[in-house]
Amino acid sequence: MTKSLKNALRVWNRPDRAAYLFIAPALAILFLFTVVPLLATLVISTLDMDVFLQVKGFVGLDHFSKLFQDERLLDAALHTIYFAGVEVPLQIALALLTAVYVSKNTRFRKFLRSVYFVPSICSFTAIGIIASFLLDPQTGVYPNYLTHLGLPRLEFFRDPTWAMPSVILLTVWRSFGYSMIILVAGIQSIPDSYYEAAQLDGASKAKQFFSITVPVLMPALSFTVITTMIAALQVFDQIFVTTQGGPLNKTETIVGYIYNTGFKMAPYDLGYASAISVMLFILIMAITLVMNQYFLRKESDMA
Amino acid sequence: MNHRGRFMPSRLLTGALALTLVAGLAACGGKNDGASPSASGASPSGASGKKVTVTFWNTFTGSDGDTLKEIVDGYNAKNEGKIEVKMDILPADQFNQKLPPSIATGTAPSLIAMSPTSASAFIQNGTLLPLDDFYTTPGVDKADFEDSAVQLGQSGGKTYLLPMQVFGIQFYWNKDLFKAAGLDPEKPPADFNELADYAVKLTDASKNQYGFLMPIKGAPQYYSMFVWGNGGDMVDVNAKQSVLNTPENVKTFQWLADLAVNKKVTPKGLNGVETDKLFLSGKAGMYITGPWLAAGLKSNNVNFGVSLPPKGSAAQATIADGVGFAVPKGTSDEERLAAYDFVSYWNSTAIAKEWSQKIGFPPYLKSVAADPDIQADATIKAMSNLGSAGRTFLPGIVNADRINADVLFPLMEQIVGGLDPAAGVKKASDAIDDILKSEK
Repeated sequence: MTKSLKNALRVWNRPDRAAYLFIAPALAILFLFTVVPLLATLVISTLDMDVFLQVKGFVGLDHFSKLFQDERLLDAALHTIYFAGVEVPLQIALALLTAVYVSKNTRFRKFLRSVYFVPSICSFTAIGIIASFLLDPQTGVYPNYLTHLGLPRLEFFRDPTWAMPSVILLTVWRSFGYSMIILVAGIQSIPDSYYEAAQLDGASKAKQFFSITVPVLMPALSFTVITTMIAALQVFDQIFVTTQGGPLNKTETIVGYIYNTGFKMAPYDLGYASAISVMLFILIMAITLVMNQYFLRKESDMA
Repeated sequence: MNHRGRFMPSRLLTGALALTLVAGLAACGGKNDGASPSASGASPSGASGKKVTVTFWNTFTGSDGDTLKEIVDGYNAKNEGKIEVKMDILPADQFNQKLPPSIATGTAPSLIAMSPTSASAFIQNGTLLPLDDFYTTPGVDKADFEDSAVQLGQSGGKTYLLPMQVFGIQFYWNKDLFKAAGLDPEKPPADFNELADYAVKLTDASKNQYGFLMPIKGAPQYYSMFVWGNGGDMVDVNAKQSVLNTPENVKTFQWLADLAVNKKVTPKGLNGVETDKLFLSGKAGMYITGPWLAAGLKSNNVNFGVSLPPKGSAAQATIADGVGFAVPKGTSDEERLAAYDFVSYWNSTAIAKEWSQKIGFPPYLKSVAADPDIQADATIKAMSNLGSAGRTFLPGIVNADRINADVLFPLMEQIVGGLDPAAGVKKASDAIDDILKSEK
């Protein structure tokens, strides 16, 4: 008895095996809250099912063929691409520039680091509500300032053309601090000797930035780009709070449409909403893999 | 060997820790699964004589919610130790989002308040309990209820909603602005032409003042009274088919577009809450909304009149709507009977009168309607009688809320925003047919 227990322990006692025990809790959580729902989504996407969990039948791939004729989904996809295409580069560029500036450990720059990071710890819901107040065309402060400057009273979240740029700017403002902190950590790990050598060779600041900072920073940079891209493709909360997909559905994104189809009101079509989720999953997976490959090649080129 | 043995205890410990963690997690999962079905209503069910808790969800987020809370508190004080009504007031979108999964997982409240339009989806998929035995419960006098109030909660010969309030959508006008514009403050516009005429006279861009408010979402389906008034309709509810794209409806929407775009009688892109505020602040001449605005207008000292909406070329029409009590599937008999007790308290003459007087809702109990105080209240009286004008918005259509929110209000939004009504109506009609496909 004790011998067999001892034997069992011996099996798990080797460091490479014990490691599995250490990651077991995390795996269990991941399995329960990610893998199971993911598989459930796959199954539900082939069922005619509502949010009451009542199954009315098996529809096979009908939902997926419907996807390709759904104009509103196409619009939502275009809006999502618009959002991601503008928001991600803007956020990364801003984060990179500020990171370079605040990476030196002077008291003022440390202070700035905290200031830029503060919005990231606030919830998008709170930020969205405050922004809606500030930008309200009738009673908001900013539209009022604009008129004082002799500019037209911009309607921000209410204007079909300006709603999406407004949401994008809000998102960049709230999220760039987080990317910045990761990049600051990366920049601080670059040895000073690189820059000293470059200075001796007479390299300008810009040259140093593009030839030392950016290449050495590539792992951190690729991480931020990929995670920001994933977040951008799943954009939901800030839009839900500020515009709710309006005006004229001009800010309805894929996740917003999923919510609207499956959860917002009758007939609560969970099956179709799941099919859209599966499509979004595949889309994000594809984009992430491509970007990952690209960055891996870049990193190995530079090493 | 010896070296290995020395490290044994700590490794054993960490390994065991990891195992217990996993086991603990699994246990947690199991416990939750087991607990949820019985969690519907946190009541200690079982032996009689124990207190029964009735969880009650509704969407009375306005000032009417305060009065509702007073009434519920009064009921709880009276039934101390027997029945307790635990009320949760949720914003409408949260309510619509939380209710279905709560019913699916057996954690639904035992009593909810919702409109017949929203309820039809729940009735048709069998997630609301039939409540016909309420009217035979001792202490309930069915003869005191107006027939229309009882019928509002019926579907397919069964009762699913018990009366909580019944109302028609009303036409409001600001008498002071009428006077200032040289109009007779005691006479609302008689027909749509006069409405258009007055709207232009009441609009004054320099004062940020508008003649007729046209919200683009989050409001009663006021566009339908123009469609009905001119003899049209949105959906053939028997054939489950759109009848929106007709020449007469296109004309109606062109008329609305002309008011909004060319004559600029309304601000663009406001939701119902914002148009409410504008009218409450005395910045608008005419407005169509429910009776709930009356209490706010009185407390804001706005000199207003209220009547049925003006006549169209074919008829005078308004929306008859209401809110009813419903009991979701999975509620125990004990909780349902306790809920009946509260509903019958709500429908007692004294409480119904209090609700009518404080909130301004027209009474649907004959005993309240006959009350001298109610008779003397001109506003309530004006709102009580819909005559033959009252119509229900898309009765029996599961997707009614979706058609309203995803098609018809967006159509209004486009029209107010200056898009071509004819093209908009055609597209909206196709969209309605697309949505209705699932109901055939």
